[in-house]
Amino acid sequence: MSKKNQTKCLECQGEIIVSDDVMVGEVVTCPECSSDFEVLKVKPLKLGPAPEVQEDWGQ
Amino acid sequence: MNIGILCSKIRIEEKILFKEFEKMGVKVVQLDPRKLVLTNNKHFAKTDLVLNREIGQTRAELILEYFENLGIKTINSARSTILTNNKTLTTQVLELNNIAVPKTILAFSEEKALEAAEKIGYPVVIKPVWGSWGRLISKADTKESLEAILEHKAALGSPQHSIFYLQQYIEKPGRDIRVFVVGGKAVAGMYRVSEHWLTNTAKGAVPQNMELTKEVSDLVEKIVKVLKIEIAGVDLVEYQGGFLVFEVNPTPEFHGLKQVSAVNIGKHIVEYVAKGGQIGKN
Repeated sequence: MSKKNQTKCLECQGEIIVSDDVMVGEVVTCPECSSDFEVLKVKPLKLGPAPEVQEDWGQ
Repeated sequence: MNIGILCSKIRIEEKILFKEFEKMGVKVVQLDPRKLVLTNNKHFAKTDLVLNREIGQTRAELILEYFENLGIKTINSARSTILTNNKTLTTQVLELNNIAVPKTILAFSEEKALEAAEKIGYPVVIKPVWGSWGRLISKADTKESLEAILEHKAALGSPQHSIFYLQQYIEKPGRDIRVFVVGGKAVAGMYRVSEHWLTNTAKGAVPQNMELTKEVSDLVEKIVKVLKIEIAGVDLVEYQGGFLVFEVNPTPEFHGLKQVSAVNIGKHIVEYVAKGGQIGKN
């Protein structure tokens, strides 16, 4: 896994590694603190806070 | 065919769908509601079909209607999405079509909800009219506990929480059933096993493979036909030798099913959508 797939968790500074086929909009989870983040940019990899769950979210 | 996928959040399911479209060589674009500005211009003139995978139900319903007004085919249709997002209307339509559902009432005051609960018999289950993943569903074993729940719901303040959707409590055999439907056909099923009375996987139920029987497939296909819905997750419970229908989900998740079934749900959806759906224009 190359460095382009790694970034630091915005909450705990833990290592987050994403797959090669990661997509903008994808939600990734920090393996250390379980915080969720949204992929904002792929090249270079940039994460932002995941959207908060809304009352009308569902399947 | 130009296909858009309406979604803001890319979960496992949406990623699978994008990958399957790519494998088929079908180009799709993501339509993220957070980035859309809708006006009656020609921006979407080349869009033939929109597949809804949006997690926010309110904006999905509105956007689907908007696209349909522009003559764009949507899967599912706005009408079937609005109908199935609304749990009480779904129950009503199913019951009117002689499909077994738990005894259900809809009331608009605490007083009438309490009166109706006496007719259903305790325990009763109180559900939000709109909602998913088992959230805000309560069970009242007695009149006193129902009074407290209704009072708390009313105190939440929103008009939606002052609509009381009460249902007969059904003792489950430790599981319920989720059947996945694509193009009106049942394609895969699973049990959701839990000792808790709520058997949503979001509440910790464990998926288990289930072979679809003709009886289950026939029932589910009748359900989606009356609701005019093309892609759905149908939730059933085994009851007194038959089945009752709990709800129908218009943008169903399938990560649980993927764990226990050999059926490639993503591929089924993509093949169906790439053909433009088979049920025709909305």
